[in-house]
Amino acid sequence: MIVSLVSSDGKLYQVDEAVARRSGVIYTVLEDIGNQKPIPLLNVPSHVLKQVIEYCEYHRTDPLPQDAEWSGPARAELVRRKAVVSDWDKKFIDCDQTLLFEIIQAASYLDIKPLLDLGCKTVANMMTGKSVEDIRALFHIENDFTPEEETAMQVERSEFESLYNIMIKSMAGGVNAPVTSLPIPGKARRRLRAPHY
Amino acid sequence: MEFRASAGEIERIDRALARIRYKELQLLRELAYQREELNALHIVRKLATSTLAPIHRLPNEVLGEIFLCGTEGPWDDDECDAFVGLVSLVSKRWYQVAIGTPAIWKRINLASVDLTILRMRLERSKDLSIDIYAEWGINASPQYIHEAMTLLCSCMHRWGSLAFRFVGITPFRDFLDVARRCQGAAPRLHTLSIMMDRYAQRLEHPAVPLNMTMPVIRHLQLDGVQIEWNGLTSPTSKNCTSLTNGTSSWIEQHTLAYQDLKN
Repeated sequence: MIVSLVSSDGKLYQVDEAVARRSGVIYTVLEDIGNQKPIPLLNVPSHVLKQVIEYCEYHRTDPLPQDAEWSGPARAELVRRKAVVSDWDKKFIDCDQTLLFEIIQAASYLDIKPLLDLGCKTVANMMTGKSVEDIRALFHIENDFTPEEETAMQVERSEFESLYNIMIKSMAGGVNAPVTSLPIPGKARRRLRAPHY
Repeated sequence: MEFRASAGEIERIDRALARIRYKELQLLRELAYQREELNALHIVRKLATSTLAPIHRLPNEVLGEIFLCGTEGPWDDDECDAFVGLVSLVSKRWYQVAIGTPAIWKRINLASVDLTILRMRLERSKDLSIDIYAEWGINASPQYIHEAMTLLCSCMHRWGSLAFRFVGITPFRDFLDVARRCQGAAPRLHTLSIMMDRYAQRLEHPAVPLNMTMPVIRHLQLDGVQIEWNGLTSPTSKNCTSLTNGTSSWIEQHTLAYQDLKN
């Protein structure tokens, strides 16, 4: 069975029902209304929908995730299981920032949890190991804290600093550098860590 | 010779003062105008910057999901521990999103937070189950171990996973002092790991009393410690799917419970 999807800019895409059902939203529409008319996807432009369909085509035979899997204690298990991202997924999500965030938004809107998870993990990985300043520069974010607010956030700052200092000290035997200007050498630290028993 | 100004001279000075005051006023007005311009431009710049930043278009719940991904990882991953502190400092919006996402605060590495931060994390994670990890060495402060564990014992009902690694017998003894008094129900505890380093394993040390019920325990990892099973009941053994028992020994009278667990 073929399902017709219409992007926000009016382009028509025809996909197998099994592919379309990867989306929780389309799944519900097909269950409730049936496959009679093209389904308009008002928040998904064609260049993004094309990508989303490509992802769903590739993963069409994967078991559909259950809601319970994505919350509660089972999530930790899932995270461990999914810690390794496949080469295909890596290549798929390796795109410019604008498209990456559009895909994430579409995955959220269409309720495609594995794709949302892949996108979110990719963005989180982009931030890991960077300093606050690096993150601001990477995502074009202005530091809009007033000096008073920065003072009020001393607890947060001290938490980050304490974690940061632990890492720095374990590597270099103590370095006093401005916290927000240095990357976190976590991976390097792990290399220096004694093997776990 | 004594200086005596004439009325005309004073009048000239007054006129000069008035001119300077007028000029000063003009400059102050100009300064105020430029400051306004500067502030307005800052606002415009922020808006302009945000058009470059696709991340600004993400809804808060998706941003929260990204933060969550950054905090999920192995127990001993420092980057995961630091992630929430890192993102909170980026911008006001990110700070608000971080505060409004309780799940990102539930990961607690006791060896790298002080009591204030521990309380903050417990508070911000709302009523979610918490994942506690500590690797305590010989330099760990006994007072901190005591206070942190006392605080955590008071929210035993929220424990989701507990992982303790002891390097040296001293922090282990400090831990035991509190553990003995810690009893009750841990209804959400699914993972428990207590491990002792190889050297300390050779030393004589008391058993860890587990004075709590753990009805949903699934993973149990013990190495180099003696365990007193006081609350492990048969429903537990049905749920437990993984058991790693390194070089631990088991108190005789609780062998039955252990056998249940293995079967």
